[in-house]
Amino acid sequence: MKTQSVSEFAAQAKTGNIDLEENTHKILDKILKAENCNFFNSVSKDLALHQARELKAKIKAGKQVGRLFGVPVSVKDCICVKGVESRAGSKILEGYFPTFDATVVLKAKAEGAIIIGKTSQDEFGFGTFSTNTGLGFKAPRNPLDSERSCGGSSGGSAGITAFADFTHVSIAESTGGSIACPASFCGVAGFTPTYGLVSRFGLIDYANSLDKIGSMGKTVADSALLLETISGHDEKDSTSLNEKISFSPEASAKGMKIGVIKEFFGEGINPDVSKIAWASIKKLEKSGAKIREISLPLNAKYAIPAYYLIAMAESSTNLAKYCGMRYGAHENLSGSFNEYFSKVRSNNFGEEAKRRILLGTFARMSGFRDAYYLRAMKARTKLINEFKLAFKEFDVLVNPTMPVIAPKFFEIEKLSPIEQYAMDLCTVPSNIAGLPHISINAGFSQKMPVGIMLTAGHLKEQILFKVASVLEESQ
Amino acid sequence: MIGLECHVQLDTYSKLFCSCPTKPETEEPNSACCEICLGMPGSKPVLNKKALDYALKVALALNCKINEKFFFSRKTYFYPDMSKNFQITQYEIPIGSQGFIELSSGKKICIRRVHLEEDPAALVHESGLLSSSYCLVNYNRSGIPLIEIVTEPDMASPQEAREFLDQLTMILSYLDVFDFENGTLKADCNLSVVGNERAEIKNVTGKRNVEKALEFEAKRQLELVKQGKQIVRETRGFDEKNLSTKSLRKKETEEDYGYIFEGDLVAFELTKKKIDAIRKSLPELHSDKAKRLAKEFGISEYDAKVISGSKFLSDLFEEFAKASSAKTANFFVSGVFVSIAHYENKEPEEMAPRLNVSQLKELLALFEQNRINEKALKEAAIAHITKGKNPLDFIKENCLFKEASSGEVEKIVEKVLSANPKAVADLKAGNEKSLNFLVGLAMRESKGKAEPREIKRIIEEKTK
Amino acid sequence: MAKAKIDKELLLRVAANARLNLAEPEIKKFLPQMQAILDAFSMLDEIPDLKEEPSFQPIQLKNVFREDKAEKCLSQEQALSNTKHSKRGYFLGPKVVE
Ligand SMILES: [Mg+2]
Ligand SMILES: [Zn+2]
Repeated sequence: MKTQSVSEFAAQAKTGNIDLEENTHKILDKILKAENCNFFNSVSKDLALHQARELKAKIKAGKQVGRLFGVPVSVKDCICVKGVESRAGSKILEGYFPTFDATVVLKAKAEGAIIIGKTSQDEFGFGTFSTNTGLGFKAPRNPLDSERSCGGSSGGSAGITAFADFTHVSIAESTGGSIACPASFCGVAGFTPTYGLVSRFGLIDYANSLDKIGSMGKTVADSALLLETISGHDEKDSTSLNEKISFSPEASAKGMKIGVIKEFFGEGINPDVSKIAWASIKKLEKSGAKIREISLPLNAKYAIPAYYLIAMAESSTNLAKYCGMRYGAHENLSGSFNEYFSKVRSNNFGEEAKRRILLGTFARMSGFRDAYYLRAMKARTKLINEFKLAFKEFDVLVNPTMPVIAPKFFEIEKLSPIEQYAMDLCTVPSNIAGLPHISINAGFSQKMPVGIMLTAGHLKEQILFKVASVLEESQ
Repeated sequence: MIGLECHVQLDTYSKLFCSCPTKPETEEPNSACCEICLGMPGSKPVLNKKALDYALKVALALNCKINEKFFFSRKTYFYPDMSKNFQITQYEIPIGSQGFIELSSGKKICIRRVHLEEDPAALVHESGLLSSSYCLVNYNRSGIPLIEIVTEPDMASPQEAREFLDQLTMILSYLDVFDFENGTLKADCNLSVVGNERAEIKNVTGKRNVEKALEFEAKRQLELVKQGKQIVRETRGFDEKNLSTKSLRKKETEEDYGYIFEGDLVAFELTKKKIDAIRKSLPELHSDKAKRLAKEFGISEYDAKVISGSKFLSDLFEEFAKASSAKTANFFVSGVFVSIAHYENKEPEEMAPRLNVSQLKELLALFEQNRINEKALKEAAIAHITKGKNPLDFIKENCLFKEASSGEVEKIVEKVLSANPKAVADLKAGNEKSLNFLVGLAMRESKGKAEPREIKRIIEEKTK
Repeated sequence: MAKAKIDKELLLRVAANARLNLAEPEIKKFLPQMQAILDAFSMLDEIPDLKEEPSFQPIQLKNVFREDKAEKCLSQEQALSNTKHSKRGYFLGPKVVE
């Protein structure tokens, strides 16, 4: 049975035809029953039911407002929800109950969203499969095949979105591909906006100059609606753009100039995945789009190293604050500050977090800083310029979201860190350039979803919406 | 050689990157903090515009070249007073560079850079720095805007360093960017004896302590050199009680700050127009003012310098000089008022709340009209400043008017003269000693109330 | 960039700088991994004439300020609500001398 869309559900809920308290109860039950899928790091049952009751009272008072009225919304663990344990998937944030809501959470609540819980992720977003979990956390299991990964780092968000047989959307986050990748592996729509379009205030940082909060939904329309409600200028985030999007519901690819990124259909890409992606591209052509191949040699080659160096350098400073003094995990207070901080950090960071802290610290150390960190920052400019040039010719660029379908956990275990990083080949370029992109399902290979990714120029989210809707309708 | 890194707190209402108050209503620890200055995960900084304007003013007043494009960086180091374990500061490109301050000798002390950064928290060590097994942390100060002013190692003595700081605080007072009542000036002092390694004395508070710390350190290093011992590169701390410096850590364990751009803040770009506007808005600074006062009011260069030493003093002087003669205003400000402040161990501006300018103007008018003498003026001023007494009432209550006293003094003199005919004869014969003798007698008779100068005048009149 | 040689000494220096104690098995694991990763990243060396200015953010942003206005902040209780180490309204931190 097809679940109601977010806008249908909200409209129904406003009339009082849906008992929001009952609906929320039912959903929370389903989530708790699916506990072994590990979609959630914490379920905010009390908050959700409290909100549901408040919304019910609003209906009675005739004050029902909001485009997400009564809609269950899950939030990636790295996004602060006031009074709800927010750990970004890390043991070192155990017991952190933010005293404030992230701007996106405030906005969603203002639209009537019911916050049902914090979704699981790689620790601080450090991964592609949600398997680099913090100590004591478990990796989410793909709802289509529990032996397989949900992708990462917003794995829990994608997992619950695919799993849900009820109306639901998820607030996710991407630094280098963390929305597109799990959306692809779970077969849902994942929308990553232009850098700065959605406020990062309240986001537990991975890498400040790369992090983007975005949305996931079962459909393009659902994810677009959520993105619309959480976007807009925020004076609490200096990097927030003075822009707001509003989508006009339209599916059209007519006359659209679409560039097929050559490098992402060849070596390193599973041929089945390539084939399915090409099939989608052909559909766009049928709908009147002009298709041509384009080469992005610099991005294909250098985006991964530049991205990882910047991300690691920034994250190593973001993670410096975790030292067992003001929030999160504490240890017995003993020894000098160096001893105490080292003890807390060594005992509570997971392995990948340590690896990235070490690499990031190294990349910005004097003597190495110019060659690694600064060079990567300059390379980023070059990579952005390559895209800018491409968008003079094209409206949309297209590639398979991931080079493979969701791998099995035992396969992931065999990958070295560098092999894992290389999996982000197709998603990292759009992310390092802060370009809006969407991943939607293009078909299935071995019964697992294959995602296709569309990227547009800065602030051209509407174009993505139109083209993605065409693909979705053709499914 | 001495180089200083001075940290000066800017007088804004809110902190550098958040809207927490810089002057909280209570003294309670951690009562003026938010998620941002506590470094809570998820919080983000936004720059205080006023703090930047203030920093620009300072950089311009210190003759710096302004960098039109600049940005902020993260300086990572782990310490309990750093809420994020990194400080948001400026690294590659500061707001201002290549400035100078001119000392009274004409020597220029070069300023390498002026930049804006956030203050760390305050640490309390309950049983002393060395023996406490933990520290207490108060983040109320965390995030207060500071400007850091880094000099070249241009100062040759602790005295020169002191003069540099005096000049610097004068400039800050003119710019009105520093809170003299609550603000602190802190300095990291680098000192080396030519040809040797340098030592850095961290975090010395106040001008006087900087001078004392440098004096101690200079002596210590010279002594080591004299004994042929090596000076090690190290960081030292200043003990305010014993006025001595102690080794904190040797330099080889120096922290690698791993500077990166602060990605939560954007780049900043100033237009030439904006810089010019701030340059034009700068008030007349002390050295220009001293020259002008000497020329315009005909007061001595020395007094003009004293008066220009703070914006407050010079404003006071100009105010009084409008009401009475420049000579009287100068006498009161640089003679009477400054010495009272000095005696009370206060900066002149700290005395501001105690002054009633219109009452003082009345007092100066009396002096100008020659109705009271210098002594009466001083006494009335002291009573006013230390006890809040209306100076006019004070003069009346203590019968300090010249007219009232002159008659009495005359009587006393007449009495003394008629009782000592021999001395009077000697005086008339030209013996100066007997004049002093007679003045002394009259002084004793008046029980010290009369002024020697006045007695002298009356005796001379009567013995002509 | 001259390819950095990651030896145990350098790794431990980096770890100390990052306030991480590495156990012997961690050192064994991280040493070759870091070398491999940095070797791969040094591919950036090949980028022809890299004269571009660094990008602070993917979108160029400038001059974002707030006005100097003091507003209500957290109460002491709220400020301390997430710590396990506090005393008389202060956060309690480790001692600062070695
Ligand atoms: Mg500094
Ligand atoms: Zn604050």
